[in-house]
This record gives sequence, structure tokens and C-alpha cells, in this order.
Amino acid sequence: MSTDRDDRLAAFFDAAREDLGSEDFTRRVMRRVDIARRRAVIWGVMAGIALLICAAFLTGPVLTAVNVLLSVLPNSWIETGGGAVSQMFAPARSIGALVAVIVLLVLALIRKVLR
Amino acid sequence: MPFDKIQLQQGPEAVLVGLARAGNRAAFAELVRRRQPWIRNLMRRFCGNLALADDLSQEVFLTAWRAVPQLERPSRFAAWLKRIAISVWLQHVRRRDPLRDPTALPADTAASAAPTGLGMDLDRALSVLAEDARLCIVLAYHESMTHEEIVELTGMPLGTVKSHIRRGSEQLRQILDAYTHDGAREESA
Repeated sequence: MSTDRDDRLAAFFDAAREDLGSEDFTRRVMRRVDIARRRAVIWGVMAGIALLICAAFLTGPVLTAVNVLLSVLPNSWIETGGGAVSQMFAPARSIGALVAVIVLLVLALIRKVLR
Repeated sequence: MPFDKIQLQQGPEAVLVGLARAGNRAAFAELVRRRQPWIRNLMRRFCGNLALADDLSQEVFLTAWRAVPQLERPSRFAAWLKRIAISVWLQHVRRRDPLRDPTALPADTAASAAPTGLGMDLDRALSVLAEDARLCIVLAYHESMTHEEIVELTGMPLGTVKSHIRRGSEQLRQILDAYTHDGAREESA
């Protein structure tokens, strides 16, 4: 621990300290605190309303997209004919598997570029 | 359970901080009442102007109100508040605009907020120092902080802090000596 304090200067700083306590200052701070609290409540309510509106608008398109994905992803993109082996590899042949592989490759590429 | 004003006035600071963390407005008001002379004095030493110091002090307490729920150790409230004060001051220095500069205040505001006597001499002397040097000097002398504590709080390198304090002290001594001599001369005249 080091200070290198000059005692004369320290005494000067101590002497220059003033009693600045005032109720008026506290009142002003608390007024600003109240305004900040009210503002936070108003923002919270507005954000809630905005979320509800967004949810109302997006629910339809999101459900449609999910339905489309659910119907498309299990389909095969390579037809290998029937048989047990073909059925066993069905998940790997699906469009879902292709999409997953593409997503993993893109992620790996992004990671490589960002490193 | 609601607390009355007298209970809050007599309560230990850590308890008040605990209550303020839970959103108790009255407890926070009591903390402001107790800590405002210290923060306002500190801000005044930083900026040299009481009106601006009050403005920045209000900002400190407002920031504290917003952040107090995240304060993990109520017993460290004072150190935490000091950190906020320094951060508010540094933000002010970075985004300083001429409208908020003490020298740009309207004449009547500046006069009503003008400090007197020793405080005025000290503020004038401090205003000569560079921002970083003033910050180090105020923390070292006004707050009695060690070099290591200043390094931790400001993020400046130890060597820089030491040299700011050494050179700043020397400069302050010279300026304050000149004031003392001028004052003595005026009194004798």
C-alpha cells in the first residue's frame, strides 16, 4: 500500500470539505427516482402490449411455417426403393437430415471465419 | 412490514440497503440523505462547480437506485457508491458539451452556485490540473485512497497514478502557496 500523501495538502482538502447536507437535494433525487419508476412501469406496459400485438400477428404465419416444415422435412430427397435397409436409413435420407447437415456446415464455416 | 421514518433514520446502513434492494423507496431516501454530503463534496472537487456537482450527484443516486437490486454485499454500499460516482464523472468528462461546462453556466447560476473561501481556492487550483491528474489527486487527498485503490477504481496503470499524484501535488502546492501569499498581501493592504 502506498500513498505519498502531502500532509499540508491533505489538511487543505479536509478544511475545504463543506457540510452540503440538504433535504431539498434528497427531495429532488427522490422526485427523479419516482419519475424513473413511473417511466419503467409505462415502458413495461408498452412492451407487454407490443409483444401481444406481435404475437397476434405472428401466430398464424409461424403455425403455417411449422406445418409446412413438418410436412416437408420427413420426406426423402433420395429415393432408394423399398426394403428394410431403405427404411433403416430413412432418417438420414430425409430433407430434415439434409437441412441439419447444411446448418452444421454453415455454423462450422462461421466459427472458422470468426476465429 | 412498513418502517416509520424514525426507525429508518436509526437503522444501520446495511439494513437500509437491504430494504432499498427490495424496492423500499423510504429506505433509499434515507440512504440519499446520509450519503449526499459526501457524494456532493466529491463531485464538487471533481468538477469545481456546485450546480454541476449537484446535477452529477443526482445522476449518481439515480444510477444507484436502478442498480441497487444487483448489489450483492450491502456492507460494501459506500465503496459501490463511490465507484458509481467515479463512473458518472468519467462519463461526463467523455461526453462533455459546452452547455454543461461550468464555465458556460449563465452568470446568475454560476454566482449562486459559487463556493467560497478555501473550497473556492481549492476548486480553482484543481481546475488547472488535467482531468486524469485531478481525478487521481481528489481520490488520493479527498478520499484518502492508496495508489493501489485508485488503480483498481480507475483502471489507470500504477506508474501513471503515481506520477499524476506526484506532479499534481507539486502543481497544487505552488498554486495554493500563491493564493495564500496573495490573500496575506490583500489582508495587510
